[in-house]
Amino acid sequence: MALLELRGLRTSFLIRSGELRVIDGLDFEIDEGEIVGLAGETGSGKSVTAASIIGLVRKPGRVVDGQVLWRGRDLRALPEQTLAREIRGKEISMIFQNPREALNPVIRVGRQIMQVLELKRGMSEDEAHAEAVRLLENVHISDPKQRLRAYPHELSGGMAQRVMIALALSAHPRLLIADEPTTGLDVTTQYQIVQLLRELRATTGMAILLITHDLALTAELCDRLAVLYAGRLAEVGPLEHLVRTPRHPYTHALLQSRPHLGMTGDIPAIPGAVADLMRPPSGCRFHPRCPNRLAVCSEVQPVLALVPPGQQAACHNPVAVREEVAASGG
Amino acid sequence: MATQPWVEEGLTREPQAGPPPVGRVSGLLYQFRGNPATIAGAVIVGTVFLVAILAPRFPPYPPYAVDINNASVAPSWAHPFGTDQYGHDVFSRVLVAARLDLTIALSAVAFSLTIGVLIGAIAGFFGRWTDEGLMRTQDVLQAFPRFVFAMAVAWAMGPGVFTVIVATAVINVPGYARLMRNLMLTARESEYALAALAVGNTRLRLLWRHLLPNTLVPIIVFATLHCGWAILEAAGLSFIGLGVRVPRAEWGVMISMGLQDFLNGHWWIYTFPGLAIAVTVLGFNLLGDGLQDILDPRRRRA
Repeated sequence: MALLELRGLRTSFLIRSGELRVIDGLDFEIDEGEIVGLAGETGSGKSVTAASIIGLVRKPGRVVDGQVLWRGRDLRALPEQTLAREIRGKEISMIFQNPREALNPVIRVGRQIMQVLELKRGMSEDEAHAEAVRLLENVHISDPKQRLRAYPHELSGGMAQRVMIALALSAHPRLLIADEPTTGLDVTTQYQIVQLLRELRATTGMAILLITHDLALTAELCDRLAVLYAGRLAEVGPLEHLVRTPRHPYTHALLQSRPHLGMTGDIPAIPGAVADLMRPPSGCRFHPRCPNRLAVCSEVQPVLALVPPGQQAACHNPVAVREEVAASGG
Repeated sequence: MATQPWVEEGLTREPQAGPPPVGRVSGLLYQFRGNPATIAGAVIVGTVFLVAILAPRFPPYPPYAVDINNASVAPSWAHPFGTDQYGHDVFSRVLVAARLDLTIALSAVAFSLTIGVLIGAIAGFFGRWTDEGLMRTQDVLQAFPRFVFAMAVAWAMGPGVFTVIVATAVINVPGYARLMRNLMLTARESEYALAALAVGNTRLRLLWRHLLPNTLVPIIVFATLHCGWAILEAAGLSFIGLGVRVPRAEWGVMISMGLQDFLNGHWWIYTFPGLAIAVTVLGFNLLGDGLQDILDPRRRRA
């Protein structure tokens, strides 16, 4: 059984002018110990997916349909109290894009970690302090005793993200949702955070859902990659297949629009704008921007289907497997 | 800092200040030291408190002893602030009144703070119709001119110390409610609120352990400033005869007594209680402004 399985998940924002279908029928799973990347443009519904999983979609958003199966148990059916006490932090934890804003500005970071330890693992104050020191050591923060006394604004971005990771891992979750964990950090620090996440997966065996718009980051870290477009999965499969031989035109275009060393001329951009979720295009949501579109694309919504060399793509007219893509996409 | 052995003598720069002390009390003192205006405020407020505690026990002259033979005497060594038309020693009365004025101001602040913060926190945290309902009642309260509203309350309750407290408190509840609601709305929508929920805090815990501490600093600062205004408002009510009554030693009452004698040129009867109010209010204002920097960890001295 998969660790986490999303079945037909639909999350909408009910606003005055209508229903904004941010997630529209998402089927997706994460296995034990797996690192899965969830990639897509701004507004494709990545963060809302994360919020939907842990039941923290902000008003006026609401999960309207589907199941969030956590080891076979539907989290949507659980009351808020149970989610807070048994699931969040203990089973599924989360780190955020702006670590310094995700830490409480007026509480020392040590206190924040200790609070979770006391709450989730029933530790005494002394035990919690010792464990907090150990947790900071695990995320490679030097002089942890001193750092525990710091306020979030006294930490650098990378340091704050490490603290956030330590905090998120303090109750040994089986799944860590990382929402753009390296955005806003400099490249060296990004690399260190990636290293840290990889190392923590190896030592703890937890699964990671990495939400990002940065395909290079997924390439560093992920086993599997899912590409989201306008609230639907465009393509999902092993990282290597998706990066070397993308079959969905959207994935292909995303990979093409990455700058790389030695390239000349303009970076190819994807024409058009992200689909209007209030009045999404009929059929395949990508068809107005798609170079491969057929007549059928605007009429019939494609479903995820197995395509060679071994991923699933939701497309009527997949990109042909070409060797040159393999060369540039690595 | 002690001279460092590896630095050559000629190369040492200006002697640097020592590292910030670590202990709780010494840390607090360190924060105060960088802030002369705050020290002045703290000293003034501290002095007023000291006077309020000590003066009624050891007044230079009994504050209510009528001495017609010495009525309306100008300031002298025997009576540094002079005497009023009943022969009360103004100096003694100014000192003794500190206790009553502080009691009224602090009680009023405590009263309006408790109720206002509660209303604001509930409105901001729960939002929607709870918010609407609570905040519209505050709008109604604020629709009246503040002092006129306080006068109406005081008039309805009849004169007395308790009246002044209630009247001063009531007009300030909406201020706290509004401030608290805004702070709570900001805190509730913040990323750390979401993060706290994501690591498994219940909503009640979030409110209590994470959101309230973030609203505390502005509330304390506001309350400190408000202590000064409350003294002004309470004295104002007594001044127009709706609060504490003659001959009680209260700054507002004393000013109004002095004004009855205004045409005789007895300036000292109203000037000194007036100065007492001004200095106390100034003290609270200076302290309040400085507390902002001291209490907020993001604005502390490194």
